[in-house]
Amino acid sequence: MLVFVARRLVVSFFIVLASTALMYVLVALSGNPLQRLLEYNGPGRAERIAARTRALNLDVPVPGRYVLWLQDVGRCIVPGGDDCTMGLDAQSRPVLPQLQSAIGSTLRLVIAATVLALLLGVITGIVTALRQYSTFDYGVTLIAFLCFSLPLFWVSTLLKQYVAIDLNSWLANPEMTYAALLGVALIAGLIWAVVIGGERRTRLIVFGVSAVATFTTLFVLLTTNWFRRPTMGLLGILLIGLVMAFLWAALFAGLRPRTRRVLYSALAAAAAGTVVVALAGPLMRSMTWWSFIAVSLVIIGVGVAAGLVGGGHVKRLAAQIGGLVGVTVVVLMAIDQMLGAYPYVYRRTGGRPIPTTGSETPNLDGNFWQTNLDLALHLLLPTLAIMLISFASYTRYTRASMLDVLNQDYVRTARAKGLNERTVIVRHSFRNALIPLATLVAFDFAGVLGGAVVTETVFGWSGMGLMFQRGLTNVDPNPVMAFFLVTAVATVVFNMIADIAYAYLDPRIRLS
Amino acid sequence: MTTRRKSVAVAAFAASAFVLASCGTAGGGGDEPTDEASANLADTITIGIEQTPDAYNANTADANSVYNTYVDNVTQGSFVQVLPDGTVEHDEEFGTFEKTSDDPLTVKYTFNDKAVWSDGTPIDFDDALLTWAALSGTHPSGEKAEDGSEPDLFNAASTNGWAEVEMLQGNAGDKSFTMVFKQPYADWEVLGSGFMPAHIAAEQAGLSTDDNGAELVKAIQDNDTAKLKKVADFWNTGWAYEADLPSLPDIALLPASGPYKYDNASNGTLTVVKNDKWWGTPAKTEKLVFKTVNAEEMVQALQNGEIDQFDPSNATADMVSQLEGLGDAVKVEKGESLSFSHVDLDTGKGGKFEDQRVRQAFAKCIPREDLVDKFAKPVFDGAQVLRLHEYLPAQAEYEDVLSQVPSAKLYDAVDIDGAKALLKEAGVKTPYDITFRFAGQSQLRADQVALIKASCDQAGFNIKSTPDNDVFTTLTHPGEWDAAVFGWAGSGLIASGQSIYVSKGAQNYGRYSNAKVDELWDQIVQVTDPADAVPLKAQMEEQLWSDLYNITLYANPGLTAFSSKVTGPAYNPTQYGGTWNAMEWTKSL
Repeated sequence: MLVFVARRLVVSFFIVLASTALMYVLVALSGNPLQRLLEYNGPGRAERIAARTRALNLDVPVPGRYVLWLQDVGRCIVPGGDDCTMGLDAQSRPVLPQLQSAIGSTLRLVIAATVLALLLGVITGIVTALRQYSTFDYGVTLIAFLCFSLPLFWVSTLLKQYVAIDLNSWLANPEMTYAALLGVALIAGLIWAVVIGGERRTRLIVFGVSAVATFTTLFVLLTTNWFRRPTMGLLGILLIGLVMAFLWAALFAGLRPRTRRVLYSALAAAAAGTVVVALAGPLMRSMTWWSFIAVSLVIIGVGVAAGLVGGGHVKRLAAQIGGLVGVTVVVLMAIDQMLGAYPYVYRRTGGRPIPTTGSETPNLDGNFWQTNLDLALHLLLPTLAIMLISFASYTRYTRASMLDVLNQDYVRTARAKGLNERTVIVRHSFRNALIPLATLVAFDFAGVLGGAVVTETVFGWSGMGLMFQRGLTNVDPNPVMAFFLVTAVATVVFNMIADIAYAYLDPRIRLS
Repeated sequence: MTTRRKSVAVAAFAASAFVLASCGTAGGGGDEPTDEASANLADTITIGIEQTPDAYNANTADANSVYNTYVDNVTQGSFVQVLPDGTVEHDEEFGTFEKTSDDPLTVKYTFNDKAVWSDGTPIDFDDALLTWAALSGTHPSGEKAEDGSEPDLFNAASTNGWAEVEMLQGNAGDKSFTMVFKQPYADWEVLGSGFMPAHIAAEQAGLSTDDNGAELVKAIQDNDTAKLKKVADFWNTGWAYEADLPSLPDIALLPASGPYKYDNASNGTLTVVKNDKWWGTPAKTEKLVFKTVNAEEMVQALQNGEIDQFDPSNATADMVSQLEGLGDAVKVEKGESLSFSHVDLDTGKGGKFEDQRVRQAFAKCIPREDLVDKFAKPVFDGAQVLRLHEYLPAQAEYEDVLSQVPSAKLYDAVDIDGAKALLKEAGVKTPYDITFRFAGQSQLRADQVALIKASCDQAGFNIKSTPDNDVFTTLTHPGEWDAAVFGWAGSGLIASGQSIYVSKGAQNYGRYSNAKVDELWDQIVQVTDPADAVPLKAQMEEQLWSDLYNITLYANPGLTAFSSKVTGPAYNPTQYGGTWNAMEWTKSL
């Protein structure tokens, strides 16, 4: 293992070195860094040209400049080395601080999008695999291929128009004609009917129930002006928490008499979690990240405790599910609080809460929840855009891998020995289907880091993508190289992690 | 349930649904009461800019972003304001100045008695003296650069003008100072700006700020290089912002001298608020926010109310049609900017355009009207063929000067036959090969060259359209190009065009040389009354056109777009940009 890692590191080092050399030369030769200044005809022309020539070492030939850049990077690697700047940009400013703040905001963008796309993609992929060749499967296949082929900048423009500008206008006066309500209800009914599937009769019932439920919910929300003053309340947290607890228990433990105690302890965890939320009420207004983490840990702890106390002979499973229920309650609590913060953000943004550009509303002066709601709203469009595209590939890979596993002999054996369908799918198939996905996620993360260039440019997000793009247009090699260095290192590192993870997950593979 | 009963149920459901559907809407509530129920004016106006400002001190060579000017317009006071038509207006609120002598040129400046920085320190002599020290280029650092030159302690963006000024005489605390010029300088009227707070620079350099900055004043007067080095170091870099403006440096280092003062910055968004120490007419809106938005995303941001105004650096027909699609919600003002497009020719010895008749033939076949119709009018209807070099249609003097330059009108219409005749007369072998260079990244330029080629090839030229990613380097290599189309960003100043037109001027790429033009420029840069420059420049224009120095095409069109809730913005073609009058803007809720 160690030998493998060491060997890979040495090889990776030379790969990165070679690729940076290539990249540096390409960027340096992509144009004249003095272009704008040469075009400039005002005062101080010569001084500005001289300043830029000094900053970018333009008096040295390109290979020499690359060596100088390597030196600048080297100073950052050598411990205690001062003057770690990673070079200067065209305005003679060090690149390193720019890179640091850029990485932070890019990670915020990329992690949210990757995690969400992964969750949704895996769930959808599994359902399509289980409902192979159903209407739902075909529908998802169609959507996935559509998303695959969409250019990001175009999706972004559409999202801005419909999800930001038009939705904002709707939110200013949230109303729907009954015809539209009915239409939404029918579509929702159709989707659920197709997802759940089964006999004709079942499908009809599912269709009816979900259509009516959607219609009623929307109708109530609209008539109570919920979209202007959204709220969930403790009762909402409790009810949704209980339903989720039931679902988690049903999915991971089953509803057999043997595991009935898991269900009960999960429900108890949801109720206890809600009580903690109620008790923490006074803390909510002056919440900080620390108190948020503390409250979250208490809620999750209560969930785990409920599992340990009530789990009986399946204590461990009950505790795990209790913890999951705790996490669910924490998420519900956060949503509830952010809904409460909505009217403030609505007012401060002049009645247009969903932004098309930037990463925060200036001078918001909000509390913890108001600030985070604003950040979340700013993340909405870029995350959706990145997600739509990664989601497509996750769905396809999960589906293929799940189908592959479902056709294995051991799955047939499991069925033959009388295991119920839930155990076969969750325990025996799903886990093994995730193995190839580990590789994909590792690759994809590095890929998304690079792919954020377009997203950031389009959504005015000042992260690494913007740094890269601006560096490239200004023929300013050092910021571009800083970006490239990060993505190149991320790619080789994640590549290696994928290989190691593979060996860890799949006992048949040995690293050597 | 039997099938029959089922269908009845479904039918009943559908029927009731349609009955419901036909009668109106659900939801739609009244507005909740706002906090500021009484106010009908918003307290914040957000201005979209394409790049983040990069420094508080915009006078250094490194801080060359025009977006600094957008902020400085409202935060840094000066003795003059350049109006959109290029005329200079004295800002009497900041202070007064008058010319007291022509020989030597002497100008007396007096700061307003009430003038203070936003931290309360009076604006007085030490601020003016530091500006002179920094911008006059008279403080050699004593270190030799690699190329043998000796850089100044202060890394000034420009020493034009101030370099001609003798050291300002006076004492710390004086409210007035006198500029005495070593030799006349034509743009003397716009020099009274760019004042940085000397007390901050002194404090950061470890000097005492007592007695109105007496120690700094003495250091400059005694040319105390050791002390000045520290001051200069801070002046050069201490006021720079971090890249992309993640936050502002300590606000205490950034006092303002205009109607707004700096408040905060985060993630590329800068906020300025009303300066409570401002002594002049107060600004009308409490806060201005400068938000960085990518050029292509401005229109949607404006539509979504995230910005209230923007001023594209490069207005395109696409942008105009997008803006027009927004209807009454947005107002657009268009005009002609101070930058212009032109075709330069290699007129030097051995150049393809050495013969004046060939140049004239080329000018006759370039479809200038067509170029304006296709590339400028889609943005601004009133765009016209540009017939002068030193004055642009946006400037008040344009028509007056044009009437004195008869040769400028000779090439308005395409005259293929005339061009053929001239080529024949010149005795050149047709087809006459022309290497026509343009910026390779620009589709606009490529389309323009294609249009010129279509016309001029009929006259006997053979244009080789040559995209070039490095036009400006190529331009300095005679022989590698014959013609090139590119833009000059004009400044509206009197003297700044000199190096384009005089023999051996740095930007005289076509190696044009004419003794009369050189002599006229020598006079132009020394006039002390701007009005005197006009007849000299008219003569110079006539010479340029009769020699056919180059062919001007059009002033690049520009625009400013703003939400119809905002009152006040107006298109400004000068380098001061759209915020030149932002202190007067208001926004209704």
